[in-house]
Amino acid sequence: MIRNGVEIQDTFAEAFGMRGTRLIVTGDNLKWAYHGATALTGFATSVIACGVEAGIERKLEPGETPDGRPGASVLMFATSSKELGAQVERRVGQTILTCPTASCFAGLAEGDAIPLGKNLRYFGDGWQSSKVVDGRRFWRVPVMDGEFVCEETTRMVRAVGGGNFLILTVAPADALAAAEAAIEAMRKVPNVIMPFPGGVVRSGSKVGSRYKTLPASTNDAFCPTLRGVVNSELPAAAGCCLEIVIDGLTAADVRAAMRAGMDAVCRRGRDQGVVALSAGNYGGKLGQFHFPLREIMSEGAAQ
Amino acid sequence: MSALTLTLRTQPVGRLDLSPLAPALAAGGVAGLSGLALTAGNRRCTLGELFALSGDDAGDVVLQGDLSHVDGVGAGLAAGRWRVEGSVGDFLAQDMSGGTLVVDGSAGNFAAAAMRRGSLTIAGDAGDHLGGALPGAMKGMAGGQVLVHGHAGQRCADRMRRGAILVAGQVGAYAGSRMLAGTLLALGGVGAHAGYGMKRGTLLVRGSAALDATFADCGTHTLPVVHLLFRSWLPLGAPFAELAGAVRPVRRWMGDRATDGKGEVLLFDPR
Repeated sequence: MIRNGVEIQDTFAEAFGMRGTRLIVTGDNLKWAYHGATALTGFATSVIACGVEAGIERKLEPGETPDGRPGASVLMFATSSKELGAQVERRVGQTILTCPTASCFAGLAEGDAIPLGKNLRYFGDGWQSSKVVDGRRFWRVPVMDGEFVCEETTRMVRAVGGGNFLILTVAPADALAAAEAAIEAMRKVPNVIMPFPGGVVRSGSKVGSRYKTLPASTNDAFCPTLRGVVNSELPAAAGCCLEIVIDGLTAADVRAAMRAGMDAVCRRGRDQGVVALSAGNYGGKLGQFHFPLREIMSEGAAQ
Repeated sequence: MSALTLTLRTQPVGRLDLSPLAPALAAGGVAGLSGLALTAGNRRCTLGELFALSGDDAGDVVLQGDLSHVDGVGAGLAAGRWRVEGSVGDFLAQDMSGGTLVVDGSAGNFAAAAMRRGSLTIAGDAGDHLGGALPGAMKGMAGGQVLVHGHAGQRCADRMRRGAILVAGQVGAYAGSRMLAGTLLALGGVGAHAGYGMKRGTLLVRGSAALDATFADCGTHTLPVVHLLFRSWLPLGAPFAELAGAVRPVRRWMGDRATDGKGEVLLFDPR
């Protein structure tokens, strides 16, 4: 399959079942809401060492938030409900409780309840109080700029993590430009985040390593500097590869984001150095979810 | 199906207790309703003797006539929609646990006493002990929402445990007395001894209030939770919906320090 001179390789992305939640962070203005949301989702690129994969889903207008202030919606994904619960409390406690003017609310109405402000409230040392508004309980914790308001619980749903595609280009600059175009398009898709820096990851990994202590190591088949000495999967014209990883609330959301991103890359085309689109998988045996690139690109009309 | 309409034909001798009506409708529907035994003063009577009945929808009830001597209207209501075209007596919506109840006129004392869920709207005034505790009870209203478009009497929200009471007019003396939690809004101000003995909970008062010495001034603040409350009242229409939008700093008084002292009186829009 060729789109605008870009080869869509006959492969699939392999993704895993995760647990996810959405949080809404608000502040007196967008600047401080984003300070909180950025810190909340900091160092959250991969569950391998960060515990959670998180990112800012989108900006929220004052009319969209529970308290009528500007904010950001944040998605967080972990491999287990226990880990997600622990990370939500730890991160909100260290980043939103601490952030001037910021408040934190649940962003999902359905799913299993996990603690949000339920335990953080004890920071109030007895001065905390709660208010039930429309059936939702909010905790008020006195802090030095007034009150930290935090919903008691948030909702956790079964989600999908690790959807991905690889952008193979002639030169690194082509790959960066294509990846940026893809991310810009994908940020418009709801219910997904791309957790890596700027949404893009350069250190794709394979399972296993020659070192006993490492479960994963560099994906040498896609490393351009090793093309002469390993069983390289890079086409002859490709000199660089970047990956975009997608976590979403459902498989359909991940699929929609992959389509939006791959469309954007294909629009740049071979003229702007894009050689091919590929995807990372583990032979199909590890992940519950498969996203075949050609099938996704065949759905509906190209945008 | 059409709304079940009960029109008062004969004024009862003494006060009529209509509290068996809502449980009877929930249990048996409209069938045999006219034979429902009621007590008027010291006499026994049936519903059919006093009211003309029409319609068949037990979930949509309309009461017509001068019911100012009828107590317990909507008492024990658990679901459905009730509308009273006129004023009612005492114990309106007592122990109400769901549904909506709208009174076009005014209500007597102990309206919404021990209410647990649902929504009560009173277009006119409410008497004393609105949302309060029944005599001998340790807790008053424990949930739900009460809107009063007129004024409310004394001891409003007495021993209130949860929920919200929103009053467009003035609230009498001892507003929120012995309050345990919940929210009382008084757009027309409060009388003397507001928050007397309150342990927790919130009195939101527009204008100023002369509070007892057992309340401590905690300064003027812009509290996110206040805007959370105001925004949640947006669907309620005027005047409650008009509070959202503008930033409204509140003067926070904590008390009653003669008890737990974790309640608050929040004064906004000072005059």
